[in-house]
Amino acid sequence: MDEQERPPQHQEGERRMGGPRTEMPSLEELRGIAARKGQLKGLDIDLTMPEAWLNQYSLSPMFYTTRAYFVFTLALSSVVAWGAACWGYQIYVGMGVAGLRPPIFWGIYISTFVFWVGLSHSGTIVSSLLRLTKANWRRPVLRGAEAMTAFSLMVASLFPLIHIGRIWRVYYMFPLPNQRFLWPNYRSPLAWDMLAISVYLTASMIFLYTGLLPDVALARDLCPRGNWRKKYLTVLSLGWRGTHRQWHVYEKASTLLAVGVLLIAPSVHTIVAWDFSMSITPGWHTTIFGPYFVVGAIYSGVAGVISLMILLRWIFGLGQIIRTVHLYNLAKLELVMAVTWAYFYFVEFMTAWYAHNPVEFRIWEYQWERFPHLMIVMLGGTALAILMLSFHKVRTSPRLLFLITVLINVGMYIERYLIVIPVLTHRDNAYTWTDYTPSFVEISVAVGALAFFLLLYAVFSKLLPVVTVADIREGKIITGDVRIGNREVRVYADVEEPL
Amino acid sequence: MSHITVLGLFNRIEEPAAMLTPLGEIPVAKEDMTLISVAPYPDGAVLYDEHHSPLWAVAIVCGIVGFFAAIWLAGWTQWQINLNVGGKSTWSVPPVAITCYEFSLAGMVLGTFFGMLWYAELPDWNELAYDKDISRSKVGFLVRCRDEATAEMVEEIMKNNNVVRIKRGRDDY
Repeated sequence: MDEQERPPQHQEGERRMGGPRTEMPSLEELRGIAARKGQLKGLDIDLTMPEAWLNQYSLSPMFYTTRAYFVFTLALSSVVAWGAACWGYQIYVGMGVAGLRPPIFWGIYISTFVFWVGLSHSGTIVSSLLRLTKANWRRPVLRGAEAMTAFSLMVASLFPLIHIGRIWRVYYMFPLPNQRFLWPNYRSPLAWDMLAISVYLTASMIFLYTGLLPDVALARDLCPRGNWRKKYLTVLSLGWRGTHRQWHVYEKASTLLAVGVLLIAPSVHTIVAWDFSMSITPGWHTTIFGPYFVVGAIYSGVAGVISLMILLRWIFGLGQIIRTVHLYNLAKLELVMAVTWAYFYFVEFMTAWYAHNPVEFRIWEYQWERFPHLMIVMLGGTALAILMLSFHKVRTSPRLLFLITVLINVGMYIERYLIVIPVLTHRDNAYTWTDYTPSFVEISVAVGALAFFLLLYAVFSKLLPVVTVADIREGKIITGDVRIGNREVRVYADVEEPL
Repeated sequence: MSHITVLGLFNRIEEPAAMLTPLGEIPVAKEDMTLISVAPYPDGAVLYDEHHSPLWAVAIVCGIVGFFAAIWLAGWTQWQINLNVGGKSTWSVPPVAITCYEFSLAGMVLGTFFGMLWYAELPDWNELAYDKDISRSKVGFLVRCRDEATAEMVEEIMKNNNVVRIKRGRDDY
């Protein structure tokens, strides 16, 4: 970066002084109102932020690395290495090292798989919904959300491989004739699952890459000469220049991709739900599972997006771009999802309770006897989330939001665990009832997966722009503050083509 | 036919927008002008994109291809390995429908992406007229001229409209 784009700490004083603005009214015009300072905090884009600082701010995670980052990455790498070693041990010794025993064939690996697939959902759903509805506050949120989807899906797609044990047999699931011209059976929900996740992963990666294209070109241009990133940024930017024609095609493609991804995402988690509900196992065989899983996935995913946005603010100091208003709006969305999720809990409980379904009752009793602490965290987490997110002060406090959203995802992980395990430990015949405790290997692999997700995100932030600079710039182009009476309000140009 | 390309860098979008009338008098056709910017400006802010790029049609066609690929994969394989178990039909429609849905959307997404690359003429690593200052929020306005005399007149108009810098290069647009 050249002199014009120094690190934020060097320019903090200058930033406070305001900077040259071109399309917008001068800074002096916006001053003189006592509430102005407070109002700026609540706005989605700081129109007074000079262009060079926007570049430097948004690309600073790539080019400026702190010692804490190295320590953090090293710690994550160690955990990932340990998880990978445990997986390797499991492959070498066999599935006996996992806590799986008949009739428990699905353990923590499957519940972790469902959790990560769920977490992946909101990234693209939030991103594509906000793109399609042209929500102006969307801009800084998009990249983080899309990357979360791609990385959590990558992690999720490891778990079927881990779970099958003999990983070299995975090709039986590919849409290829494997031996004696046998093809996979597409009547099996497991085959649908493999297909849906492959499609979703492909679509999410394309969605992420398409959004990245202009920002990669920006990073290519601003990358200092001789920097090792220059080569891959040049290749990945595909020679993007930002011509009017390119932008026009790009915007069409973004809309179409958003539609495509929005249609794929709910189908994926519905199909994951069908892995359970298409079986005739009591406790799983229920029509509510499809929408229940989808709503749970969005609830979990929005919480994941909020947590990651706050981490980006804290770790990379991106508070000028990922502003409190973005967290506030996401928190409102999360509140809606929390209430919807509670409604689904209620519907599920009420239907089984009213009919006094003995199988459901047996599973509930077992859940409360065996896992009372987990049940309290799961149900209490949702209740607490609804209660806390109802307060404006909580929605505007990054620390509280971080705590709540992490708690939500802990609760959601427990929920996945309690869907998979109790049904299998207490199936139809009482003489098969047993217990399940995840082995050390299983827990290590699950923790390694979490570290792997965070590591992917950390590496991504060093290699590619972690916020959508082009979108933020577009926001600056179409945004302005106008005075209505004694108040200044923010307005956005309607650049839609007339219908 | 070789062209001379003149790229002017401006601070504000209004400056190239104001150049359209004098450029039309030279004359330079609108097809020979291109706006280059770090962020998308609304269509018509300077120029209208008059290229025909029916990306939606590409997406639909690829979606249809995906649909039939799924019928072949999930449907044909059921016929191929005909296991009559429990009186179930050989060709089971719901699983094929699920596969068709996923493949259609996969086709649509892939079609959109490759269609975007096709219509945006990417990848292109040739040395085209460009300036890195565009990434620092300068607005680039590129004019393709037939001869040196036209190029000089274009440069003069740019200078009259507060151009920051003028570059010459090759451009295939």
